[in-house]
Amino acid sequence: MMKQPLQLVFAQNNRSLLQATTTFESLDKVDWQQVSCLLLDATDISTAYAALVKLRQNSLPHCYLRPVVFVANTERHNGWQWHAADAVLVLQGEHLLDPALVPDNLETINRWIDNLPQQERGADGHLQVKVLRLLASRQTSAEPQATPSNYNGYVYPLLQPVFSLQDMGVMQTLGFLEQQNLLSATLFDRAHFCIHCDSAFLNFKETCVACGSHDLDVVELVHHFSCGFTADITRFKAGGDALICPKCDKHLRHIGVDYDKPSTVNKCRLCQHVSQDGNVVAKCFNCDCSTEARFLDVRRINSYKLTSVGLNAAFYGLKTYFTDILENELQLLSLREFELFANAEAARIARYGKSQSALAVVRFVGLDKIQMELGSKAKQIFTELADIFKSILRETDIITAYNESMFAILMPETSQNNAALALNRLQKAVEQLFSENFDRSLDIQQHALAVTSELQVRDALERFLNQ
Amino acid sequence: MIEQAFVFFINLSGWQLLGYFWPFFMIDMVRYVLLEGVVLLQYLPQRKRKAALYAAARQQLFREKPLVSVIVPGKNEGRYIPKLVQTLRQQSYPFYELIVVDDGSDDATPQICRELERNGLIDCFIRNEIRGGKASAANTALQFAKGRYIVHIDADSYMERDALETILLPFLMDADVGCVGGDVRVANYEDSFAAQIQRIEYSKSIMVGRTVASHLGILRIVSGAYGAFRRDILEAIHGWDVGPGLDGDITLKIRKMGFKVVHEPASVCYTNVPTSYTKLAKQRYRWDKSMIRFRLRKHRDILWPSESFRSSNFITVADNLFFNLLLDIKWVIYFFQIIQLSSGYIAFLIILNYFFYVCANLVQWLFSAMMLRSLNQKPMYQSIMFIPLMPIYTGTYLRLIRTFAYVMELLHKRSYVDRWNPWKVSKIAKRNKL
Repeated sequence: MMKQPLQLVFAQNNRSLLQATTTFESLDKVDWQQVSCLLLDATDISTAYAALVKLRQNSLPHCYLRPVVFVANTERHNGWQWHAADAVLVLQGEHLLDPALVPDNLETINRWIDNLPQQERGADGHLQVKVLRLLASRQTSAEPQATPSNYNGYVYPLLQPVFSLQDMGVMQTLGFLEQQNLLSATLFDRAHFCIHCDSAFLNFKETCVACGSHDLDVVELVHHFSCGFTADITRFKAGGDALICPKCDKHLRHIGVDYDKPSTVNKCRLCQHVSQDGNVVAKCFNCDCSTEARFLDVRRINSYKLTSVGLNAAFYGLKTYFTDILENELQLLSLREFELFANAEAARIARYGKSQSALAVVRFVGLDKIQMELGSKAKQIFTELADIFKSILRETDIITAYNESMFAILMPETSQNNAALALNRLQKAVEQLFSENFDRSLDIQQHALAVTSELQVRDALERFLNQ
Repeated sequence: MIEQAFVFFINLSGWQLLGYFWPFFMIDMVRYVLLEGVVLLQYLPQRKRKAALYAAARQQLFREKPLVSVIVPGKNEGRYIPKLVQTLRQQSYPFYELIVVDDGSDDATPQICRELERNGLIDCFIRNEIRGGKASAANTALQFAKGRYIVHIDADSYMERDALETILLPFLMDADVGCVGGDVRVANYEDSFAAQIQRIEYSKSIMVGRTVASHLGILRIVSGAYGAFRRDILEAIHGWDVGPGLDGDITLKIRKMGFKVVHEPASVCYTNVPTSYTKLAKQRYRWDKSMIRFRLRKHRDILWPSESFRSSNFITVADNLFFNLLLDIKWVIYFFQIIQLSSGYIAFLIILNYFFYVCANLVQWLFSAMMLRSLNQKPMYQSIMFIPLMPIYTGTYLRLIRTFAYVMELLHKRSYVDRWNPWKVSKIAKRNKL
């Protein structure tokens, strides 16, 4: 039986159909068990898509996996963003939406979410796990779609909203999951990418091998069988449209019978150099760089299907992640729990005004790439990192993961300066770990701020992430 | 038997000697030994006296630095191109462009040449996907040539270090020179016995024979394997006509325009010759047919009085037709003469004829050695051991091929069905009686 669809308004025009009072900020308070799907007003597809991105980037599986339906007021759905939702409903009449039109198969997604093990239902910032779960819950594969709106030239509509600008790209993530045997790839297309900016929007043009100019004339050669004369076709066109051999003055009548066209050549208008093997150069629309075609990055664009291992991982999660390790070592709290503690601490400080506490935020840039490069061996590094966290933090400190590379630490009875000092110690220890053990460094961004009554943890983390 | 033949010989009177051996003493010895010897005796000292003229021409060449377009048309000859490219890069005259035209190869030629072009070793490589024949390929190259002079060279050839420089000098020494033939020598003489024999033949017929003909002003061919042309002349005649035998054809066309055709023995190019007698027979069969097709048919107007009649052109073609075509019959006459009049001495006559022709070949070999020494080049001493076999090679093997080719061309126009040209081209050439 259909549950009552939750209708959310993210678009500004607030149509009468979408009247629910639930706002984006209050999603965490929603009783997701009662939600069949989310309807998004797609009168303006870009606004609807932006809302979808916020939903998919939520850390709760109940939220980001929930079926999303775009409600459109037109039958014309141009653009890949329409395919990012699980379904598109067209509004019947001015404000009417028949709930019976919501596809039944969305319920299978809900059933999959409901079947998730209890421990897997908490906050989850792992991109890879999100990708696996989106595919598993929808029993679908990641299908690429060519698009001019993405500089990569291809998007995976279902998965795209999961990724923010800060994250590793969809293609890289899918490639990584394939390496881990969590996904299997099938060739969809091959594409050339700019080596400077990764753009697939390239203008291929033949250039003169001698001077590099692209001002080339394509010259067709004509061979007159009778006298052996072979030259540029323009030399045979002295008589207007008819071809007349300049050597023997005979009319060339039938191609293949008294003449043929053995080849074409490129003639440079600038330096007059003649060649058939023009240098193919690709000029990037995005960064304006020119690259010889042979140096371009040629990649396989694949569609990806979950493997049985991937299906298992979607269900039970990946245990080699840093946050998993931190969770075991440091009792990682969910973001929601962390916010409650932070709010309580802020209220306490405001009430007594005798002490100060700090919120420390730390972000390891490229932690996901380390995991990609090292695979299962990444666990050792992450264990070492967790040990550093343990050595720096006190027992009274509380830690949460905003995503797999960004962590927030609530430091009670600690000034902002002391928190900054602690973060510096953490940074030095991490740098030392990487410099002594690996031939690479790990960029760390950190920030400490005082806990006050005005502090909104989620906003603070969002601002830090978008800096 | 040899002793008896010798006794027979010393007992002959002068008239008897002429009567029994007239083909040798009255024709071949006069034409190919005495005449060439006399001309060489005049040519070699004269060339030395012209050393200052050569030096002045060389100075002019390097002062003007005219661009030379080296054009290489060919099919399935990519494997030879790197060697040619290498020798071109070593040339003492570096102001050239290399244009290679692939006439519909079905081997790795395009890949080899494209790679060389990418590496800047070929200036222009054009692949004609559809085979059009040698003339079409050469004309394609001519279309894109920018040089003042065009050097046509076969892909399976390569050049001496100063070849390009020396082949250009005659143009600067005489403004009436329209084309210059280079001295083609055998590159692969060590590959087979047939190639060794051809090495001697080339030194006789090209180095000595063409030098003499050039000196007499009756040179009839600039070899397709290696020859230089003024581009303005080639453009005026719109390049090469359909072959086979297009090299001899274009030489006669240039002669008819009133330009001189000369041979430059100091400009040396090495070419690969057929290594088996079967392949050699096919090559010569093609060459000999073209003699009938072009000299007897296409350019027979040279022989008739007209406004453009030139005695040197007349002699050029007449010499060729007389000594190669007409005198081919002399052996039939001589054969019947021996059978009818001298059947008792057949063995002596064969032994003595063989002896005389070995001697003639030896003298011709000496001529070539003299020429090589005068050009400061090393004579081919080791080839002397093959001289005794030359009468069999030239007198029997080549003569049989030549006779067969003449008959087939005269009666059946076999040159028009030669697979050397694409069928579509041959069909039109035959229909238009070209």
